[in-house]
Amino acid sequence: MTTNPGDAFIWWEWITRRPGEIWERTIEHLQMTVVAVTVGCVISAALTLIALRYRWTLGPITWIGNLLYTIPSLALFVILIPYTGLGFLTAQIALVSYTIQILVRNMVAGINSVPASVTEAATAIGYRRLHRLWAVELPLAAPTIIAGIRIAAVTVIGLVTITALIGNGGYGAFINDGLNRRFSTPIVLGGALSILLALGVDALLMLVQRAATPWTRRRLRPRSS
Amino acid sequence: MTSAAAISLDEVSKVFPGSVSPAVNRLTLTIPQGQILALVGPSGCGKTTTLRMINRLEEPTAGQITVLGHDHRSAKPHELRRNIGYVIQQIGLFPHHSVRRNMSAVLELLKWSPDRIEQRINELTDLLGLDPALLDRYPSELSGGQQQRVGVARALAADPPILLMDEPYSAVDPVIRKHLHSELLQVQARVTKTIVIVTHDIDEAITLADQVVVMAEGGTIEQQGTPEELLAHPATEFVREFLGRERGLRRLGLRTVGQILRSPSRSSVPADLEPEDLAPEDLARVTADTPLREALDTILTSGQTRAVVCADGQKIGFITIEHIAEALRP
Amino acid sequence: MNAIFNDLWGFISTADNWRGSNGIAARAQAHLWISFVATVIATAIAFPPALILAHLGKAPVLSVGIANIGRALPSFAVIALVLPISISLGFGLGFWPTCVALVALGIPPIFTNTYTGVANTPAALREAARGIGMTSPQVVMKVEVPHAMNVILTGFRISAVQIVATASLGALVGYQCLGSYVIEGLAQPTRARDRLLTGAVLIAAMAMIVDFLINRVEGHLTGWRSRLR
Ligand SMILES: Nc1ncnc2c1ncn2[C@@H]1O[C@H](COP(=O)(O)OP(=O)(O)OP(=O)(O)O)[C@@H](O)[C@H]1O
Ligand SMILES: [Mg+2]
Repeated sequence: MTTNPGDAFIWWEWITRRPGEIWERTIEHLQMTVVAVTVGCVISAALTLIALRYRWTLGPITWIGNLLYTIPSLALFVILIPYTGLGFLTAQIALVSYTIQILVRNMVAGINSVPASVTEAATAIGYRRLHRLWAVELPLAAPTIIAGIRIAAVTVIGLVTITALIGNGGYGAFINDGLNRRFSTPIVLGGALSILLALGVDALLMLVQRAATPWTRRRLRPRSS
Repeated sequence: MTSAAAISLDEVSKVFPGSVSPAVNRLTLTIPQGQILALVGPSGCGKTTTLRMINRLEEPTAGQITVLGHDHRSAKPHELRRNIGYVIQQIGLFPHHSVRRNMSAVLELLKWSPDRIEQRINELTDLLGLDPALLDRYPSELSGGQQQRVGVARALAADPPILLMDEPYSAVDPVIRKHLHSELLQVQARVTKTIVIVTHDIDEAITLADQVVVMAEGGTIEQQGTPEELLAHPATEFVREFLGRERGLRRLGLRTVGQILRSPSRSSVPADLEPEDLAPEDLARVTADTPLREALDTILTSGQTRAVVCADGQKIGFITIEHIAEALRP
Repeated sequence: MNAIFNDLWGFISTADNWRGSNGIAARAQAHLWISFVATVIATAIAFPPALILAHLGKAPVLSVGIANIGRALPSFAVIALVLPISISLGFGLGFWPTCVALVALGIPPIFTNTYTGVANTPAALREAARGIGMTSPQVVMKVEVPHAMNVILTGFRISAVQIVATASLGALVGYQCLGSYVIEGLAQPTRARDRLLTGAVLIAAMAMIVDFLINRVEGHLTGWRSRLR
């Protein structure tokens, strides 16, 4: 067991001695985030398709999404433990359920924001429903959808730390460790890394969005004559 | 224009769900191949609905539509639509595709080879007088008139035999509109299509159409005929009012100086007189292509009662206010 | 399923579990109280500057920054950090350290939503208000705030629900609340299932009730919007 000389708020040496552990936790944290957001996207996309096809389902789907979003993650973890035990699956179910409200809302808003004239033109040209959704509506909705994914990813990265309480955790494991030993260095480390990861992933997704939607950046230039 | 019907509507009605009165009521209409037909009428009379039924964006609630000889329910809607160009009221270009890809949208659906698409785009740019430099821009980087032309190019891309246009020129200023009109007529002269054009602008209908259909509230036909017939003999008070006050002047716009020079009723021109004798230098000049309406204006503006008709710089005759008035006589 | 429900019901329906300083009643009350205090303080800190900055059109970058950081801030780390800081500063544990953490977490949604809502007031609306002779404070109170009301209230609701949810973690730093059942349950090797579930269900219920109530207020205050259609 290490001792903290002079009770410093951050003991740098403790951190620099652990590159391997930090790397492992980073991978773990990223893994949990990517799995949760990916599964969340798949489920939300399916729900969005249903909501677009059968308009009456939008209300109930939104309601359930809001409900899942409102249940505090800690409570959801615990309620799931009797069914799915302590561990990865429980954590994932809770994380995924959190993303659905954010993602469905943005997906539906994105698709609905496509001008009717454009979808009508596509139909008139001879696009079939699914093809039109894929080739016209999806690209035009992309900025809004990716904005939703960014919010979902950043939120999930924060929540992953809490899963340390049920035996997972990524960076949360540092925080939990510090909490148990009343030792500030790992808490600061875990919190700071989590923020950095969130901002990094957010920036990355923003770049993806810019690269994927070039038409949103070029505006009307001054015309000659 | 003796060819078969390209589109025919037989007792077609459309009642939208939740509405009691029909938007289109037992409409019967035949559009011969190669003609331009204009649908005019007050707002909400069912013009757009009629167009949308022709390419099955809307299903009729009663009646039958035949397109190019087939009951139009026999084809799958998306296949039917690929053979019908549709220029929608709000243009509706794909904002996420370059001008080039907008124009090739149908061609990609029809799985043309890239080479063929490239070649076709060159033809279209040429046909519509588009600047090739615009091809790689996004629609938001074009002016309204340019977007309009791209919309028409997209509709014409697969060389569909039929073109439906819903108020295609409502968003452009009168100068550009006039230009686009003559462009459309030139295009039509080169690649003959069956065109249905919806418009609020009676002058536009008169300029472009072979046949004009005036629709009334409730989706019924008030009168159908050539522009000349409509202007000369409006069937009802409604049509008279709709055509506006300047019916005589508008009719003059339909004929050219050349047409009345050649007409046998030109008896008032003394055959023995040489044009030179009758045409002092201070008279205004018109050509055989000048519409009568413009010729009349030219004469009135010059302060005289006649003008010289020239061809290739040669004086070939003259035209007087009486000649013009006579042209309107039945 | 049934066994789980029986555990839960068994714990909740035992009168003894409700009484005393560690009882459900006391903990629920403590939970609500700290959430209320933290929400009020967060609102007091976040609302006025957001309103003024947005009205003046100043610091748009700051508002985006606060929004992003706020979302990226892991609540677990913020609460956990309170422990060593508070101890090293000699404040001890309990109410105030937890409350400070909750306030920190509650500020961003209120600030961001107030800022965006007010900043997005259509320029024409503002011009019109000026045009009929309103002063700056009048423009804020009579035009911008009503116009942004539902966005502002949404931010307030997100904040409050987040605070109620995170207050559970206060149990980790010595504040007795509904979260204590969960933390105690998790800490026991037997995982005292009845306590765990009771805590979780009560926390979830409280968050949903708070969400529902603020939603009702929201609907009430912005009723004019629904009548626009
Ligand atoms: N999807 C719809 N559902 C219900 N009613 C409709 C729908 N589309 C059109 N209508 C009604 O049908 C009638 C005809 O509409 P249509 O769009 O064909 O008019 P229009 O002649 O094109 O008018 P405008 O010149 O204003 O474009 C109108 O009364 C309109 O309100
Ligand atoms: Mg219309």
